[in-house]
Amino acid sequence: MEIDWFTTGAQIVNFLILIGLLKKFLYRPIINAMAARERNLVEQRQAVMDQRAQAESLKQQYEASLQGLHREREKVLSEARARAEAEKTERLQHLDDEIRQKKNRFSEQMRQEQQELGTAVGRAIADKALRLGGKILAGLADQTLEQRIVEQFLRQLSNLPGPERAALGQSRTVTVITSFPVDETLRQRIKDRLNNAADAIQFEQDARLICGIALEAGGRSWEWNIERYLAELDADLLTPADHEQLT
Amino acid sequence: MATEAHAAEGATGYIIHHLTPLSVGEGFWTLHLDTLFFSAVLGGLFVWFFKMAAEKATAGVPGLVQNFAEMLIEFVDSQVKDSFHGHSKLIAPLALTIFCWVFLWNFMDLFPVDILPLIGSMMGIEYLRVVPSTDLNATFAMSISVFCLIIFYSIKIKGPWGFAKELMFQPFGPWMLPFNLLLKVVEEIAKPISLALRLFGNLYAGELIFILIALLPWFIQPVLSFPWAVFHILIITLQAFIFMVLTIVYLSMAHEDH
Amino acid sequence: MSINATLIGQMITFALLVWFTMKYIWPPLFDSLEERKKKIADGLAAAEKGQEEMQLAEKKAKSVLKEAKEQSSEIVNLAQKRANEIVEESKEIAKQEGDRMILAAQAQIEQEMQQAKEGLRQEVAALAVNVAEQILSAEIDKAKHQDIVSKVSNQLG
Repeated sequence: MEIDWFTTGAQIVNFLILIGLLKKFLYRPIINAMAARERNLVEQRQAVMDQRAQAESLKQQYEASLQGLHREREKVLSEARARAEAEKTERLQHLDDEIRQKKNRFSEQMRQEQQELGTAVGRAIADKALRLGGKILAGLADQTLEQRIVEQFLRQLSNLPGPERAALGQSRTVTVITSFPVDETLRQRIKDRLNNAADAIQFEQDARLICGIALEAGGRSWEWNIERYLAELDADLLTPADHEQLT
Repeated sequence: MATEAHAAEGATGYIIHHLTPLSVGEGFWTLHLDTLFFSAVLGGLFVWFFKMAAEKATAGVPGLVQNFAEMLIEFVDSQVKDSFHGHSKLIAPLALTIFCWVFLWNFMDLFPVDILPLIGSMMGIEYLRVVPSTDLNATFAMSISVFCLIIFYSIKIKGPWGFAKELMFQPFGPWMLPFNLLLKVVEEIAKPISLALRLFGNLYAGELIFILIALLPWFIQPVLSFPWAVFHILIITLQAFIFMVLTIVYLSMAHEDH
Repeated sequence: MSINATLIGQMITFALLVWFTMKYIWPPLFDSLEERKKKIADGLAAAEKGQEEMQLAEKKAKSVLKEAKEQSSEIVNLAQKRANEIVEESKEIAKQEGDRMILAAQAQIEQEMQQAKEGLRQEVAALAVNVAEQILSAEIDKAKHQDIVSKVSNQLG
């Protein structure tokens, strides 16, 4: 077996052509397809992984925002509570003031009412009391009582303050009005007491003076009768109401 | 099977006839037409197959042809990645071509030894040796190509001076320069020779045994020929693989700068 | 070259080889090819599925986000509503308390008025007796006095 170098050379050319063809035209596309497939897979895997990471971050974001929301909710609620508390306090304060005012108004009203009551009722009461007194007096009315009334009157006269006594003394005419008939003895006694002043003393009788006695001289009058007590009673009735202040 | 012409020479003539290539020319200008023809046809088959795969190459699910081509490429690529540590765009296609082409050459061995020569004789071709790897010219052509690449890459990677230094100063240092040089040159020359002779020897011997079996009575032939053929399926694949792997290893060594 | 029995032997051998290859060589090779194809198809399908799942997840995320937004506005609204309720409640409570206070004050006033009237009555009764006393300018003995007072008081009532 020998080597024919010409054949060998031709065979080498054959070989080189083959390699050249394969390398230039055939190997590349197949390799490219394989690489593209591989790249595709890797890319897709990468994309999925990216997506997952993105989703994860989104989730975290969401959770954070949810927490923020919860915090906000708490804030709103606590604010509302505070506001409610404040409003309640304010309202109660307001009410308290209102009530105080109302009470004050009430007590004011009460006082007024009391006054009105005092005047109205007082009068009625005084009237009643008077009538009662009148009844009592009527029951007791006799010489002695009349005499006593006169004496009381006279005592009061003598107790008059100076200027009044002087005015009385200067009067020309003195009229004594009584609700009951005055007998001579009593008339004499009144005259005696007044004589130093008056020239003439007239005696009149007036039933309106419920068992009383009055003296008129020079446009002025001094009396001792129930009418007069009524006025005093009026004044008296109003004073005790002041003792009981409403709070 | 004996031809009329060699009938007188008996078994020896038959064997010689089968191992005689179809050649034209004299002396240096001799061409083994059968070797060239079959290797070219097989190369065309190989190119056609990969062309089919390449034209329909898709990044999606591959078809049968593309899938097979891809599997081959992956197989060769894994071998390249295992053995070759440099960077070269040529080595993977080179290895693929060697593996496929050598495998196809060897595969011709599995065809019945007489069928193609018979067809040839019908067309007036007297001699036909169908297995290119039983021709030293074919195996040497390939191994010399690889050798040239080894030299080319050695010089390209290490530089002319680097390559020369390696030849002169290794493995025993500058003082043993002639010895080093001799050793290295022998080592380098041995590479293509061993590549070519290994392939040639294996296939030539295998073919010879097929021819010898063909000399036996026809009813005995399958009993012997069939196991040998099955065994040969392994041999032809292994030889193609060895040629490819050794090529990768040699080129890898050429890429390694010491 | 001529045809003889050797060719028959070789053809039988070749047939056997083809059979062997079909039976033992081709199937594993084909299986491995199929397996590879399936692997690629599976990988691509998985990627496709991943893409789909991704889109689905995106859709879902969007809906969740929308829901969350709605929910959040609802939360705020609820809080606002609750806040108003709280305020209203406290107003109501304050009003009730106020009414109660007013009622209590009125009752107190009523009672005080009653007391005042009672006091007044007593006063008036005493006064009436006083009047009579004054009129009579005489002392009525204790028993008689008491008698008159109660009489007057009764008449006033």
